[in-house]
Amino acid sequence: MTIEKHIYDISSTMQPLAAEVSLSHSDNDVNTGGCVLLLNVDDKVRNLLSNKDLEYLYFDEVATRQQMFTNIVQMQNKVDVMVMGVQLKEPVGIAQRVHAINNDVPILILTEPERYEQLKQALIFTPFLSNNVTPWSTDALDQFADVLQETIQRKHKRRSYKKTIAAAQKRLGDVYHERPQVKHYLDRLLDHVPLGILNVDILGSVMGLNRFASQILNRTEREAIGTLLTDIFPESERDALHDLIAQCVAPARTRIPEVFDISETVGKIRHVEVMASSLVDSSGQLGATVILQDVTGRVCAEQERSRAEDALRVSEGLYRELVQTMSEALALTDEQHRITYVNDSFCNMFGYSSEDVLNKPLLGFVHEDDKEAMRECMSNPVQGGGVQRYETAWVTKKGDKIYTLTSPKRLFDPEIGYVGCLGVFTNITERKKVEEREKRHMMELAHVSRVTTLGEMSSQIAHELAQPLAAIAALSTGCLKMLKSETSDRDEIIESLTNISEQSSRAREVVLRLRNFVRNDEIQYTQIELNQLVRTVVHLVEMEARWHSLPVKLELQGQFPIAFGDRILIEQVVLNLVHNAIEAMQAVERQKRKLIIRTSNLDKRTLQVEVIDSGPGIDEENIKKIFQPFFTTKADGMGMGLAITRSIIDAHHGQLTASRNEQGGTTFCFTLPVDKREEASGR
Amino acid sequence: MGVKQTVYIVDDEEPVRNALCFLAKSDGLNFESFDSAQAFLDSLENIGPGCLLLDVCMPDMTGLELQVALHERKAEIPVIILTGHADVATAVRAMKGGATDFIEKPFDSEDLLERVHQCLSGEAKRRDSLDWRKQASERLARLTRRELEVMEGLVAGKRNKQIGEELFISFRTVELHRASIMEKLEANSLSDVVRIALVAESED
Repeated sequence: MTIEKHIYDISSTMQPLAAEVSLSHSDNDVNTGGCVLLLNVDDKVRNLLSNKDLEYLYFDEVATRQQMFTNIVQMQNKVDVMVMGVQLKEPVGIAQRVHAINNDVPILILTEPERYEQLKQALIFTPFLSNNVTPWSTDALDQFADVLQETIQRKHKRRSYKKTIAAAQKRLGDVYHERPQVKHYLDRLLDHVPLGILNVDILGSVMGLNRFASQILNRTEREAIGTLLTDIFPESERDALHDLIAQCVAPARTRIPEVFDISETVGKIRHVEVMASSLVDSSGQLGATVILQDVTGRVCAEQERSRAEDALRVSEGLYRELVQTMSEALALTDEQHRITYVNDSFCNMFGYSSEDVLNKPLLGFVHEDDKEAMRECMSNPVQGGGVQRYETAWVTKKGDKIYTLTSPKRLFDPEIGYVGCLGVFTNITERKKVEEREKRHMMELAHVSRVTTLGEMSSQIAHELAQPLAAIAALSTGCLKMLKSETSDRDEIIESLTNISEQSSRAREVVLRLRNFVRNDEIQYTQIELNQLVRTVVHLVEMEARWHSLPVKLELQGQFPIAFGDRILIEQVVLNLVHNAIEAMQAVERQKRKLIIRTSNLDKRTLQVEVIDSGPGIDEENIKKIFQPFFTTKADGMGMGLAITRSIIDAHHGQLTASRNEQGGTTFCFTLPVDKREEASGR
Repeated sequence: MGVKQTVYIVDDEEPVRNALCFLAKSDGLNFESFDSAQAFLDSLENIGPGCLLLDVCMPDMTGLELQVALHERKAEIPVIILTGHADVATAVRAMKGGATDFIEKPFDSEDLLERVHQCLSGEAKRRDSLDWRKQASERLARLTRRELEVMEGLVAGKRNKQIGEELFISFRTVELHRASIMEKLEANSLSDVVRIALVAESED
């Protein structure tokens, strides 16, 4: 196979249609044959070129410059590449002359490594050289064969483009060239567009660019023109850019801009969005117009956002983890008080899985006892600071009753308003059980104490009951006798029967009062009208007081707020104190006996009851001990009365104190809280 | 029983007091009521024959204290103590103070009435016996010294002859004295004489 023939074959396969021209390397290009003109090459190069891989190339070695020029002229475009040996003098000058004859011939100049840079500089500053003069250092001779092949391929392609362009120009006429003013005008316009616009030729070399493009690429026009656009982009981006530009040539393809990071090659952080469209004129495919848009700001912002999002995701994950694994139960509810989130501890505490509870109303898990309170609490969403804490009873999946200390935090959106509630629940069931046990214990003791007190008062109580019964007995017998006799007076009988009825209710009241007093109930907090309570107790001890001939003076404050507590227990407290006072006063002369019960407001939230006796008083030593269990000064006392009295008052969050009066005797004083509802109503 | 007696009721509690009054009235008893021990004491002069129904438990002056006060004034009236709580100490004090009876409230009304009647009849008898003794003493006072000596002999169960020998008077004279004694003592028989003599002696 002759070289000519081979070249001809290749040429004939070239299609003159722009559409079929591609900038990309395809596999069938690799073994393209061609004619290589060698000048002054040494044996080393010669041996290299006799490589089996290159046997399809035709090598034409010329010895003299003259012969070379002759060959160039004769062979015209058939020389595909020219290689100048290391020994050749003034290679740049020769190249200049070669290109003066035919500037389509690519030239490879072999040079010693130490002269390589110098040569490269020389080539850059030499006029009338096209960009296809390439210096090549002899220390990279192993790659030389490849370079040679690539150069030949490029040459072939350019030749085919030129043919195509020439054909197209022939068809369309040289419209573009006929209107130079338009082009100039367009160039100036483009310089002011805030987009980088550049044209590349069919090989990808930059043919022209506007000011903005040169700014973006950080290259002067002079630096840019003639270089391959892909070279300006970093290595990693080149393939993608190549593909992008190649695709634009295919007319059916939708053009999608792509973003490239060119920071590496332009020396500062810069991201460009690249869109390419084919550039066609009458002569056919010229190359492509590439539009560059600086999107550094956008990309950086996006990266920033994405970093922030990542950080947020990490922090959110951290919090979720924290919330999920915290020992307190946590639940979120929406504005309808339906559960929207619960953590693991909540599930463990209540025995439900989170699927069981999600979207269910929180109220459904509250124990019957506390439902009302919870409903009230939910319907009064209080804004503002200060976390309130509630003790709440709940029912678990198993049906157990558990208690939590609940700290609800209401969530407000500045625009929507109330959006829901965040609740943290601490399990206090154990503590509550202990408390309840203690309370029950206290209740039992209190009961025992009440029964004991009543036992001590039994003769008075018997008397209290005996009175109405005696009256009833007398009256009823009287009535019978009257009715049996002939002198019966109807009015008198009616009056007596009325009295009987009155006396029986009096007896009934005594019995009821006693029964209530010794009843061993659960503690029941209610509203207490303290003055009335004092009067009731005084009724109970009236007999005793009268028996001991001591006047009871009540100094009750009018307009008294309602207290809050267990009625029976507070009655017991008053009774204990009064009973003690009466007993104490037996030690003094009858004329000096005097008992005062006084109620007053200590402050807005506290009520006070004082029991003041005129007994012998308690000495300093003992006054400290009187509230201790088993301390007594009585011969037959158990020493529990005051201890129980104090524990009752403690359980009511009040205070019980004892003090010596100036005029002798002792004052016992206890306080009770005002009922909160009362307090709230501001009465 | 000549004079109508009265039940005096002392109780500080109005319902009980009224009920007791009503009971007394229904039984046809005379009654008078006082709301305190002091009130009774104040009107002591006007108190006639009868008995006192006295409540123990009263302020200022208790029933027991009233008992003492009555003793001090030598007022002789039988007392029935009423009490709501019958402890032994109170009962002992009441009985030592001379109470006739001791009734616990609540009482059985019939029982109460019965005891009141008993008390009243006892009092009537006492008053009667008190009168009889007075008469006996008066009659005895009519006798001469010699007649008294003869009467002592008669009461001792001696025969007329024996009395005459002891007094150195004749059997006949004894008989005369004896007739005179019968007349003066308004006695129908010797046994009457003996009774009058004993009653009069019992005064001491």
